[in-house]
Amino acid sequence: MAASSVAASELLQNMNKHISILYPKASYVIRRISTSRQRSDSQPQLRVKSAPQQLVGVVGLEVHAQINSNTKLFSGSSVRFSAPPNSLVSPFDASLPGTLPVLNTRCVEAAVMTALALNCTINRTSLFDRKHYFYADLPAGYQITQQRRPIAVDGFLDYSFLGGKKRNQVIKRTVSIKQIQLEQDSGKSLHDNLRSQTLIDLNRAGVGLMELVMEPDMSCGEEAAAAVGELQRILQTLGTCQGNMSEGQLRVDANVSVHEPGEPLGIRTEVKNINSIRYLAKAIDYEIQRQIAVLQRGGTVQSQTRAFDSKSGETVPMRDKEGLQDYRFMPEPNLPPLIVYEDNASLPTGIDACQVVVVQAIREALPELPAVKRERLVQTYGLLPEHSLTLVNEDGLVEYFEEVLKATKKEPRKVIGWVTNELVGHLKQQDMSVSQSPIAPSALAELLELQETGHISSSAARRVFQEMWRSPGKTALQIIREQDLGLVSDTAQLHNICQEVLDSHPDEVNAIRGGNKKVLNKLMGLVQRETKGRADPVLVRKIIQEKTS
Amino acid sequence: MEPVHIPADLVDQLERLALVDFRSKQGLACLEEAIRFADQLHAVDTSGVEPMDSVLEDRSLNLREDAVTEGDCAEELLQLSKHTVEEYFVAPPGNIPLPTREERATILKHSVMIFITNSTFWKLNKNLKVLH
Repeated sequence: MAASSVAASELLQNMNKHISILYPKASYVIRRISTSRQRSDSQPQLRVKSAPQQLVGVVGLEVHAQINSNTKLFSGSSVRFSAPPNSLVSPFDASLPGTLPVLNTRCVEAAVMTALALNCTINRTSLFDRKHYFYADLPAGYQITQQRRPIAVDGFLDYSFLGGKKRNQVIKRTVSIKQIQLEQDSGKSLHDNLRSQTLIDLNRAGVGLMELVMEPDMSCGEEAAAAVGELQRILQTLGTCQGNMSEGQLRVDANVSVHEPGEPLGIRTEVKNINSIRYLAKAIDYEIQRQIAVLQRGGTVQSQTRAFDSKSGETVPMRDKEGLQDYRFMPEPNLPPLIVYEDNASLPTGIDACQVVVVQAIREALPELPAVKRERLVQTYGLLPEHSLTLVNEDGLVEYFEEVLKATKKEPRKVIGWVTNELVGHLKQQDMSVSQSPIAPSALAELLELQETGHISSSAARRVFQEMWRSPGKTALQIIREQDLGLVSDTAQLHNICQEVLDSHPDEVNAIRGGNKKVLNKLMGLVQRETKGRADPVLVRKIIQEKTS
Repeated sequence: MEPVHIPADLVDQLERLALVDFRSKQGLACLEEAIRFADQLHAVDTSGVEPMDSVLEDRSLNLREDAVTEGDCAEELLQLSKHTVEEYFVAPPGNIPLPTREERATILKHSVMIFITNSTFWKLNKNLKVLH
């Protein structure tokens, strides 16, 4: 009996796993297996909870954005991505005794600019603290950060993504930003497991970071990916961070938990080691499913830190972090409070201009943010919101689009489809960026002009586009001539071809004469086949209609 | 002043956080003395007074221009470390977890460290007494 109940519970676990894969949205709990010895049959009793539990994911993000500045946050050493190890390190960065932090103006301005773009309240006075923990790449044994009173609080980020059945509906969301704080980056550790040692490079130690803490307003990987994508675009537009996730300029940690809507939040796990926006979505979705599966099995989610393994697409527990860390926060004694001034009028008299950060000046210097750009494109060119979303979201696509418009008389609304569907479709297939497109804007414009002036049909144009993609350098005209795709508008020739088709399909002709107009399309298709798609469809329709009337 | 008792678990936790050994009788006595000394602060009525966390609170924070002025001294810095590999500092692999309390007690019995930390503590204590 014991053996069969073990087998039964294993069977149930397998069932649960399969069911949660097949029906990720529905979830239920199998309460108890009871094997009764008195019963003649040894089937286990299953009691399923009557109302299904609808577990949903809750996702909060912690983003560390490396400030785009020439020097580090508290020292005058250079900030560069690759350089010989320990060559960009000053005595302060190496935490040698007798050195003191001196705050970089550019970093403060970058934080204020980012905070304004994210609709935050700027704290006139903010304070610096020390966060203590021991690790070889943190030479001082503490990180200077802003825990008590950061430079900015209470902002929000609006983002959108394409959803709906056909993925062409713009869905808008907002995530609240709890705070933005300035802090130091740590150095880099290279683990040498062979010789059981860690190599430390302090080039990155002390680089300025903006930590953006987002509230858990998101519910799945897609939303998180869209939010981070929009944040990346904003930071790149502002120039405060280059936002390259693969180079570590933008680091995202996800806090994931699941719960029933309305119930208190569940235990959360932290997912780290995510190197791209695509992996962010994958990691979050995997973690949500994993936690749901754990709860369905009747287990409890453990509060732990997990790492995302991009190869397997799973999250795995990281080395145990010795329970809850006590960072022993204390005020940074070497730094007075940071004061930013609202405008020039509020400056104290006699103060040096390069010793102050003025919010008003930064606000006036804000560039056009992506959301505003999208709206402007919709207004200027009469585009649909989903088109302008794709345009702005793809690096360099707006410039490409505008280049094409300069060289063709075609209306923007007619050009946009070519850019967002044909061009982007081909780029995505080969994982290429706009700058790598084998078809230059002028070449595409030429093709569209030929189509607009009636030299080729739309379907032929598409074929020409594909040929241009495959053989970069060949112009549209060349391909049209080579493959003889020019539109046949010679009416005499068309009449002959149509007559041939009609003669060989008497049944269809009778059907049309009898009132079935849909058969006309079939005949048109046959004509197009004869002419290899080169017949002017409008003309063909007219001719067939005439001949069958 | 009431005698201060520090539970063994707290001593263990403090040692882990600060990586300082002080669990000998002398070390604990020193810590208790320090706490009693600090407790005297309660004698002052601070209700309605904003806590001060830096004597620099009325100084203006000096801001620095974003121009490169230092760095490029890898050789000098690496000379400070006994063990380097090709311009990298060398550290043990990751964080070695601190042994449990019992294990550490055995290790420390044979260690010279106790005496060093104790003398530091006594020095501190003497300085504090001077400020009285």
